[in-house]
Amino acid sequence: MKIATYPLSVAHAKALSEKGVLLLVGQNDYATRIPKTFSDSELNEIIDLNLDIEIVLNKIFHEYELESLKTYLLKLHNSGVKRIRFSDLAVLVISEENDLKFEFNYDPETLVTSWGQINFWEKNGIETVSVARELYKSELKEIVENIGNIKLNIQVHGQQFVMQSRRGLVTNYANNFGYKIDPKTPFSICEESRVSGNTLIEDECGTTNMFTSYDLIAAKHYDVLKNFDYWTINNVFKSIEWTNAVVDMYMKLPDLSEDEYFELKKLSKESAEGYLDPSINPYERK
Amino acid sequence: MNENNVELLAPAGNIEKAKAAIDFGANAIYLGAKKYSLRARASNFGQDEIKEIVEYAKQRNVKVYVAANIICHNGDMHDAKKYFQMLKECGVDSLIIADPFLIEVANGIGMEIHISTQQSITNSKAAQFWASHGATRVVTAREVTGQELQKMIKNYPDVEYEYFIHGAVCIAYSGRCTMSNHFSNRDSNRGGCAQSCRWMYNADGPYERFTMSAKDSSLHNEIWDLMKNGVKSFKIEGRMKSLHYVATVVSAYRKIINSIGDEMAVKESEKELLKAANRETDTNFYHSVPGHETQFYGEINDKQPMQDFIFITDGTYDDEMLEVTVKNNFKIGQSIELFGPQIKNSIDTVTEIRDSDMKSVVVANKPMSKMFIKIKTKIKGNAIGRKL
Repeated sequence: MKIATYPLSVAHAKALSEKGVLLLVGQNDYATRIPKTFSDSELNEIIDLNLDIEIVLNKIFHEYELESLKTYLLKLHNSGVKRIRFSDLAVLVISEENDLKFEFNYDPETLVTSWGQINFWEKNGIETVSVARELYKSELKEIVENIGNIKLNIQVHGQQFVMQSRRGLVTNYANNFGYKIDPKTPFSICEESRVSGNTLIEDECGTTNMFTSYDLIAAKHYDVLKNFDYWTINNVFKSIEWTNAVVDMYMKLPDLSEDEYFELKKLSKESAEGYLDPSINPYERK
Repeated sequence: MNENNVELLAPAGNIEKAKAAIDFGANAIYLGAKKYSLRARASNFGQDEIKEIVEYAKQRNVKVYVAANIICHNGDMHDAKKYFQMLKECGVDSLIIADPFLIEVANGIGMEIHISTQQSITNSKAAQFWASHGATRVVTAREVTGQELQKMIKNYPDVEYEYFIHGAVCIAYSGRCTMSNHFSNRDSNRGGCAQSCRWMYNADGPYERFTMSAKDSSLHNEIWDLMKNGVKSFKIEGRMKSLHYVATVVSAYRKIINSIGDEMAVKESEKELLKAANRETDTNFYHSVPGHETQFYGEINDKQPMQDFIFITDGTYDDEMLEVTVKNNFKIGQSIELFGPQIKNSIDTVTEIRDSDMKSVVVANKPMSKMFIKIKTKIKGNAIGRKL
């Protein structure tokens, strides 16, 4: 098992790497939902440090972006990048066409929900798949029992992806009512009959992403997590201190004490166990 | 650009709507079977109904596709092969499919496959990937603009492209939305979408309520461009919509496709489409990424289904009387508007009504019953009657 998360600076990348963390690194032109976009020079610096990194290329690419994507993939390959986390199959096809050998993590957020599908991706040369969050423990256990040698990634902590729109939902809302709202800062909404809400953000891709406002906390479910090769901590909207503290806690598993679990929970304004324990649903009606 | 090279693809929520779609001008219909369909609440088709509609369609040279477009969880997979085999034996032309496991199963039994919009295909490379896995057609994401689509087709012409031209749209990339799962524990990728994007939200701050609902799409003015650019199939959304909606929309688009260059036909069809609409429409992504004018803000009051729809012809009539299925009450003297794929809209008056025993009556007041009416218009093919 290896923890994966996003470094929030080059120095943070070094510090996380020393803890043995897989570094998720992205740039806004090719990645979405990332907590930190690195400049070209910062990215080169991280690559040159020869750390354990996975480049996040999780945009849904439209036709006009394919040439640029190809150029980027060639650049990454020539820089010695080994691993790519992607969502759009264009990444796979362009890499194959140009004989670019990467280790791929297929992460479409919501789509990987069965062992049958995972075995399909293994046959298509994918090294790792990221399972959807909307899976019960029994389903995760069955997946583990029915796959081959492909590796599995699961989100264990942090705000959860809910949906992605190509529309600028916050921008459109602001324009409709004449509000001055920066769509690139987190915008909170809450369905009228519920306590817990959602966070919206637009990025350089122009897309709107929605997250749960609560943090997923999966630390109690080591019995399932132990069968996953990568544990992703999503630190979108979070600080370096938060990230380090959460990483440290998960590194203690399976020996995390009750007190430490309590400390871990305290790091979040709001937390729940998502589909791992659906009896506690922050989206229950008031 | 040739109307014979393109396909008008219509939704079929049940047998009656399927037949209406065919009779009113669809080249192909898509329906949900009892399993693997994303429209879990539609009255999906059983095996006998599929056989019936396939036979009806084949006699009229119309294709039948089955939407098997859920994203499977473990428990959904075990009898897929047997089920798809049954669909194949029924004569279904193709599956509209998104789940990679199901795609493998369909390929294994030699079933033709079209990749559903649930895979959010937005570029030619993704289309190419699925073509290399047996797809003969891809249904593009609704977020693809007309210009992007044109380039996709040019850059990878070895697969057919299907594009949504009319109906409701998701606010998110299809397949990449789990609002319904989180709010209602209803899986949007397995037919349970609670349409949470149409709810009202409080925004954090001194703001009006936040909404995300998109206007429906209507690309009646863009059809000829799409034809010119090589789109194979024009998809109308709406397996949950009424028979009147399906017949009206299919008929309107059939007229546009068959009347290349005739602007009047587009104008007339636009009027027809307005009669079926229950929400405002827009071109959404066709011309560019849509702004606020393409969404609803504040309370959304969809129009109630119109009660003006009073009968649909059954295609059998003699010189005197026209056989119809009654949809809403009407009586002798009723002024009506007739429309259909092969007739110009016309105004008429019902001068006589007879029941199924050919006994004269004053009022047709039994919806779904067969009756006979006398009007002046000689109807060729199928038609619908509306109250004026």
